[in-house]
Amino acid sequence: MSHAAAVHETKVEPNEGPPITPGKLAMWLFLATEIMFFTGLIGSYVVLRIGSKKWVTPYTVEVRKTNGDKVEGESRDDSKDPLVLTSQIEGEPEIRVPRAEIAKAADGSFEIEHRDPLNIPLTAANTFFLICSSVTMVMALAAIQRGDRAGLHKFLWATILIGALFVSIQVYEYRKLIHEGFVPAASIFASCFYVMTGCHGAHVSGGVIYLTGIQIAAYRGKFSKTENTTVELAGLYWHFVDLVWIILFTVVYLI
Amino acid sequence: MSDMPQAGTTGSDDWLVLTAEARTKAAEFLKADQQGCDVVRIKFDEHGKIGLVLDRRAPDDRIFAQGSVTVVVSGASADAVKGLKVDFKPDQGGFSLEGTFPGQDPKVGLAAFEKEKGAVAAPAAAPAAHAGEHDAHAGPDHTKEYLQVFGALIVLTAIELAVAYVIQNKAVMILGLVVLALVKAALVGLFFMHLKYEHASWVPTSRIKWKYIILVPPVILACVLVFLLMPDVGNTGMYGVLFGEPSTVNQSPAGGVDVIREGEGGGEHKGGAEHKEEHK
Repeated sequence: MSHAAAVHETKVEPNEGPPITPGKLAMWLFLATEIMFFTGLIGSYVVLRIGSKKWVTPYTVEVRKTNGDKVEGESRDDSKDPLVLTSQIEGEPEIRVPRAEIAKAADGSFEIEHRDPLNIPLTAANTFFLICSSVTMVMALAAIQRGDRAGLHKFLWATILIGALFVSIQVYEYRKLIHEGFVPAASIFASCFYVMTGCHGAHVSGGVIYLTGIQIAAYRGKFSKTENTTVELAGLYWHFVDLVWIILFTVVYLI
Repeated sequence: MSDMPQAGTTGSDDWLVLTAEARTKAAEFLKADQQGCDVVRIKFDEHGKIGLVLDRRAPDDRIFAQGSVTVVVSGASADAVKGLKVDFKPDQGGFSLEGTFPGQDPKVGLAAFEKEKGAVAAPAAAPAAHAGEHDAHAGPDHTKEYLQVFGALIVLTAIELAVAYVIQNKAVMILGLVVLALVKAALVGLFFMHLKYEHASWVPTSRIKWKYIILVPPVILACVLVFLLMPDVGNTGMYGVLFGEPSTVNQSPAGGVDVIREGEGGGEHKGGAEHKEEHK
């Protein structure tokens, strides 16, 4: 009888479920959906950008005629009026460049110099901070896996604070950009920019709240050398958010 | 199993010993096996390396009953395993074999038979519910690695900035930046998210790279979505700029400042210019 039972078990048991804790499986599945979510945003950005005949990112342009004379003007993409350019040469009349012509500026009749509204050095620093927070997060997990609760608290605090710093800098950046006229409606780029960085910022904010919850649980003594899966799951989420930022920083700011 | 006809000779218990742990583990593997394996075979590969595999009993096997687990050795090799002790040491990565074998170290780890179906070995083979979760448990060992990865990420970010500012060729710049970003993302995934510490197990009974089963399809789809749509859509715009093909954007007539003086209608301008050219 027992032999028969054993045979039965042999066939059934391996199919009963995944070899991992349900929480971990759930987190990885969630991250898989997040991959597709951000891919949707990045993909549509790339397609919009490459498919655009001329990709106008700036709100301010400098225009030079091919003869070298410099004319300057301000272009707001929400404006339907032609771009008005004043020449540096005294007495030369104003020229107006219609929107459609800005797109053709590269053909040699005049050059347009884009002044990037985005503050890349500040964002690079922010990228640095987020990478730091990923390191403090693995350190927090490593600490509790050694049974070092003080280390867990310390590194979790570091992660939370750096995460909050990241969000703060992003809010500062947004305020500055909006003040300068780079509002979401300013251009396709502006719209894409706010959607992508905004969704990511929301993820970071959510992560900070998540980690704060973990920290509270840690102070209540919920984690130990053997029981720390929750910390690990929060870490997975946090690292994923960091990973997404690495891609976004490149795609949105640098390229 | 004992009711099955036994071929060959039954070896004595002290000829070959499995510790209690090894017996328990081997029994777990046999239980989880779906290929109809019923014994643990001690096997020598063509290099004489010794290892354990799950297998079916063959007619000329020497059989060593070890409690609930039946261990077999091909009759020709039976003498070679005399005095062999099989232990299971999770902290050393799985089964260990101790004994003296001609031309081999007295203590032989178990990493042979990678191509063999049903091989038993390696930490990933541990069928415990937490397979793969032991990956991060050696905290102190990884700390150095984490810091190295951190350093690499910072350096790569600096290189990215340099590439973005210095390289003028747009296509080269974008290619470089994309590669750098993917390398950084991979570093985060492999080290911080512990993907690297997932054991690349070839053992059917183990939990084969389950994270990759979840991760690989979305990553492939992500690449498909972003990269395969690019040339299609891109034909209208930046594509030409990037890859040196003539842009489909209409070229303005050469010469002359192609702007409009105050008072002229914006929309009609281009048409007007072409009209003038025709008259010439």
